[in-house]
Amino acid sequence: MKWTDYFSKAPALWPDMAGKWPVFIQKVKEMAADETARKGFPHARLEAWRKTSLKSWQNARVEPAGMSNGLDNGNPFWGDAVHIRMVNGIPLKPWQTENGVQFGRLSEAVQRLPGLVEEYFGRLHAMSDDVVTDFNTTYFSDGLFVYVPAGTGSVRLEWANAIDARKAYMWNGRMLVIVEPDNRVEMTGLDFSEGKALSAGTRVVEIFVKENAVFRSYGWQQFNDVSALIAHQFISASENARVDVFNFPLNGGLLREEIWADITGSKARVNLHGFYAPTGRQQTDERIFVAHGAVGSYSHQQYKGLIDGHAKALFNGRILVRPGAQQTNAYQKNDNILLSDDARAHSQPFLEIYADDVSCSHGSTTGSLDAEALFYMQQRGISHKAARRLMLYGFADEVIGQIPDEHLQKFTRRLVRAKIDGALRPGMDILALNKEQNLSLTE
Amino acid sequence: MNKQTPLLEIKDLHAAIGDKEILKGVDLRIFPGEVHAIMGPNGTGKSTLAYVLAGREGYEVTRGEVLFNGKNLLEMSPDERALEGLFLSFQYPVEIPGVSMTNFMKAAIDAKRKYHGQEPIKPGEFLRLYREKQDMIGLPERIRNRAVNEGFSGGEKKRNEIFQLAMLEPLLAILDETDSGLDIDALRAVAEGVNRLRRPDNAFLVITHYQRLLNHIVPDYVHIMHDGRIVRSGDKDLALELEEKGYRQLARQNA
Repeated sequence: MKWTDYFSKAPALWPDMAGKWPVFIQKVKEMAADETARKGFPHARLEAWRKTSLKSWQNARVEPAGMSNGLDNGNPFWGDAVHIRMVNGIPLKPWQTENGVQFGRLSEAVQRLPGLVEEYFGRLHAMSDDVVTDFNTTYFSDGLFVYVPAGTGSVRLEWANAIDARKAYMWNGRMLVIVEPDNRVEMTGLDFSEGKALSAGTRVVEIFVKENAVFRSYGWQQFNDVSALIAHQFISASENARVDVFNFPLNGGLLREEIWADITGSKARVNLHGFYAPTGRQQTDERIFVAHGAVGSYSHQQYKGLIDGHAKALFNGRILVRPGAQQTNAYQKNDNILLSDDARAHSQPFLEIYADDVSCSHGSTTGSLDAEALFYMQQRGISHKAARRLMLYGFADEVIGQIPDEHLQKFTRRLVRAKIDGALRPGMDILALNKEQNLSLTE
Repeated sequence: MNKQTPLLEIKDLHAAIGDKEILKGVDLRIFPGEVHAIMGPNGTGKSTLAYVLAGREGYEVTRGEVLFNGKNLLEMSPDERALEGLFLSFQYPVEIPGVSMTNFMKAAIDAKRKYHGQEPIKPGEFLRLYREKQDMIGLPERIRNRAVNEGFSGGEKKRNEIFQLAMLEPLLAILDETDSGLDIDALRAVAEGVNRLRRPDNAFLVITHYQRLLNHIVPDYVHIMHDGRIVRSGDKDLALELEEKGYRQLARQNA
């Protein structure tokens, strides 16, 4: 069936595809299915989809992905952390408690921690009225649930999600993460495809970061050139919470990420960073929305990218300061370098401010590589190729250098540089690079 | 080094930007160990000459030739010229966001070493060299981990040019208006740096608008450039004469 048909026929199709769920989730799904059919497949007449091309996926025939076997998962992990392997967005192992963290499939969580799931599930995703959120809510058959109870302290989680692209599949990942007050959580997430077929993926993530908690997340997506992932991430930051998100859409036909950060507590700090480098006919699409709803909160958006070939990069950054959210500091910066005549970047800032005592700024630049700087370096004996590379590496490092963890910084630098050098192949490369990292850690 | 072989030999050099001819027949010979100064009012082609020699894009050489150490300079890419030993101290040093001074200098030094068949410099040796030259030029320590020229003051940018000159030890250094925008202390520091770098086997071409730099870097020869040509050459006293009489009068005497 065509991907678009799953949208139009959602109310009829979902009951057989989405698994068995308690009534409160069934109801949410039922409503989402109706909304999906009503809104239909995303189209260019919608402001949010005006510049994103879904042509390659709209009429592609895809089957729903299940729990695929036989994917070589390699070793995608670093070491001392809670490891979560997933296939097509679903954790492989049953429920576990490790280092105080309770995690496993969402379908298990509704059995073990029903009150918690009912309290938090779907509470944030209504921030977006985009059909992809409805679509994902309709069809997800399972997902990842992570609960970090009070008193856990510092913990690191690493997940790796292998996408089966040996055949044309659609997959719909779902995550619910609850971080109770005062904990420090670092979560890394690797997505990678295996196989050359097209895949059409969606993911909806809801993250609750409670009072005084620290939550840092790092994402890398490494798909083949014909796969798409549309990911919506919703984050709620309570009083004095600290949230850092780093995203590196490395390779994929379409990598679209929406982040909705809802700052509900005073003095919360949210830093969102991203670096993209689409090549060929790839598209990256970052849609960032930060809502300040409390006094004295801070947010910073830093997104940069290199666009080559016929690739396209979209950035849409929004800052909303709600009435009463005084002493808000909110910043946004988007910089693009076009490396070819056919590369395109569209950058759109949007500030909506309903409080008077605030400090907000945004800036956006798009241009080609500075010829004067290239000449300057060549005048010092550095070849054109090496000078260009130094500049591109340097440009990327302005984001990568913000990563507080040294090993993650190194790993990301290696991946991004490989992408810049045209040396990053889809799939397994990301694991090979990570293994190298393991070696260097044991030196 | 043999006094008979010029380090730089410019013969009847003509160069244009688009349809506009800027250099209209420049002749100049510089031997190892010499310091030459080119003076002249704005818009006479001094900086164009520097850029044409360094190989900047946008200039078309329409006639003439340039030999550097006996090799055809104009056929070389800008980086080859640098590797052969030609250095340009920029009038307006360029900011390079994201590229740190150390990475930049390491890349430049390693490129030079590779060109001469040597191994890359060892990190310890590099750091020692960096500190030594930094102290010699009086460049603040804090600049080391910054991006190239980013957030540098005007004086620091010029000093940074001389620092790079000290690091790379070229055969011919062209100083394009290195004195512009410098106060007297900075000027003296820059000049001192240059004087320390003088050797029997290298040479300097100092492009300046004013005579004051030449009080500190004393030239062997002074050339006056006017309307795309060197109209008069002499020793260091020519610079003083120029200061007294002004460009217009000197140019008229030669017309």
